[in-house]
Amino acid sequence: MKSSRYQEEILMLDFSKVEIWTGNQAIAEAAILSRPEVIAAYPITPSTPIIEALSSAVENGRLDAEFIAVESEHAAMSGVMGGSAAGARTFTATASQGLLYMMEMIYWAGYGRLPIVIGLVNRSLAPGWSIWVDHQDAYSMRDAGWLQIFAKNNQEAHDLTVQAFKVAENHGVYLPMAVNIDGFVLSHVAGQVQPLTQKFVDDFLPSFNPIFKLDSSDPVSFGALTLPDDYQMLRKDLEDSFQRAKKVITDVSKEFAELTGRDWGDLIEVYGPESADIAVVAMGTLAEEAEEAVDELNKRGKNVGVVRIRSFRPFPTERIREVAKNYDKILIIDRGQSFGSATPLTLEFKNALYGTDIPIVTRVMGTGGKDVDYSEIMAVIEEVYKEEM
Amino acid sequence: MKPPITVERHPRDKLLRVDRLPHIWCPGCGLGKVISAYSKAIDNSGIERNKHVVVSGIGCSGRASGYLDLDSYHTTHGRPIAFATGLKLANPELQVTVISGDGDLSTIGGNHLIHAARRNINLNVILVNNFIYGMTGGQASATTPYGAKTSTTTKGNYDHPFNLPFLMRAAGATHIARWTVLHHVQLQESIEKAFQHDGFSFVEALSPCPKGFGKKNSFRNAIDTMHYFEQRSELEENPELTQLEIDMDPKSDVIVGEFFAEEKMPYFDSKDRFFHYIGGHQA
Ligand code: SF4
Repeated sequence: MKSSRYQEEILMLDFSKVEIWTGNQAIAEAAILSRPEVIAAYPITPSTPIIEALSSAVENGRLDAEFIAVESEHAAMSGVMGGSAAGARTFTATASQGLLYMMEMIYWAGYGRLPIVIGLVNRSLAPGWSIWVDHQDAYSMRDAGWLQIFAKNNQEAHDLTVQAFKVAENHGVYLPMAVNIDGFVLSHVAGQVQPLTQKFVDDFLPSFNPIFKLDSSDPVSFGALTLPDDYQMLRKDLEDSFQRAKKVITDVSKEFAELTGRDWGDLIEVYGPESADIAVVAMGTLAEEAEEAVDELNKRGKNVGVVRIRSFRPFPTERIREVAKNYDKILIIDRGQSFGSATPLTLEFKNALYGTDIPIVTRVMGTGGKDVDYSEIMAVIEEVYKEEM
Repeated sequence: MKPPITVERHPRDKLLRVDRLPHIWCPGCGLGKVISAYSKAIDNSGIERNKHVVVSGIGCSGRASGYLDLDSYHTTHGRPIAFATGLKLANPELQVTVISGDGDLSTIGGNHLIHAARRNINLNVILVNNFIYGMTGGQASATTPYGAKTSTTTKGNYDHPFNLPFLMRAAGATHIARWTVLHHVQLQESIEKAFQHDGFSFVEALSPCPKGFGKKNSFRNAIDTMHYFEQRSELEENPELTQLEIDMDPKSDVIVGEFFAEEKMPYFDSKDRFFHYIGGHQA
């Protein structure tokens, strides 16, 4: 890590400055510092405060961008796609049903290689109506060609939003990216955030340099009919980009950690002892809650760790194979389901660990906003200790 | 001094799911008046209660379907008219009423509003217009007046709003009315008229949203919008529809009234006649 003098004087990061921000504010402030040029947005609970903050930043002159309050999420994604296709850096935010309503355009942005960044405030899907967190909305866009990354707290959400632009716009990646935070648990709960500075972000994040764009001096046609051979090639290209994104996400995280001292891990974050009886796997705030649970259990003589999935797409298959060796059992806590099959995280783990004999146990917890505290996670870990595999 | 008169049950209670009360609407919200006018209209309609169905979308007004003790469906954002269309097709005997807001029906769901009007399908749409998205905290919608402040237009809205009666006339609605929630009896009578009308009915109910709209604009207190409606409402029977845009400026009039009604072949008749004409068997 560089010296703190370097951090303070060259990057103008003031570590004595701490803001008390909600997760929504943390994302909005980072998005503003990232200088998006077109924002098209539609309100939905719990992500509305992000777009409100952006609209006021534009209106009071703090951010030089076009903000348009459009008539639906479908129009919001279409609008930022238009902006991105014209070569602008673009941002929007949504949640839950809003994401579902955008879905046609979400796929288009992914398959169409438009490096948009979205703040996705995770919220369960209706019916029954629920405004509280789970990860079913994020899972619904799993195969849409988007990078999906999950923050565990407001500081990480702040840091990840800036990194997201850098990863998405990387020419070896060139894919849209969703920065996920848990609805209400992070979006509406204020916590300490050390803010990045404009100077830092301007140095860290180069301006958007589109590979291709709508440009009347060099006309191109997007979205044309594609014959089967080309289609398959385009999808293979998409997959190759996801594979390359693994390294880019890791490198960008590392670079960010070296500059700021804030290391959130790579595609995953490993917490606890080097090797353990059980690894608890989770995403978002459940993983942070699991850290509490394992600390408590380890104090009582158990030997447990946490593997937090930060990047769900691309999925860190190789990293999981590497670290899984260190554990006797894996306990997945999933905040979503894939009805008629194993849960999304379980499917990923069974795929990643195919051919090994590490037992995997899954618990679906915290869906529809059901509160999960560390003591419940401790109880589940105790159960898994007792289960014969 | 005489003790105040108290009654065990409010006269509207019998159409409400009282177990869901108290409601979640803010003090000074106009939505209660709309529910009240609608339930009174049901009482007066002479149509059996179990033939009435209410459909709503998302937003504060979407709660209407939860509070009314009728068959009801709380659909997704913007889709109540599309849902109601399917409902009416499945059972044309039902008296299907959509109660939802400007954000839901004219913004995210605007497409369905114009297409249901175009088909002149026999639905009753009560669009509660409070000029913003209330539930998410007061963002600009498609009816936010030019210049009005909202949480996504903090310096004022530079987009022009829909003039809904004009839009509805152009789209093909065959019954169009507008009242404020202060015009309780007139609102109720227009809803009754909608029940009787064979075709697409559009009743716009202008409603105060003190929290989301009023306090950011010229109506600081909940009562101020009602005073404004009281002082500046102008009744017009046959207004120039192009002139009905609302700016919610304390110096401007708000034109209200039964604006338009015509007999025009409604959806089911149109379909029957078409198939009769081409000799098909579509019933
Ligand atoms: S926010 Fe506005 S519309 Fe919603 S309940 Fe409150 S006053 Fe009524």
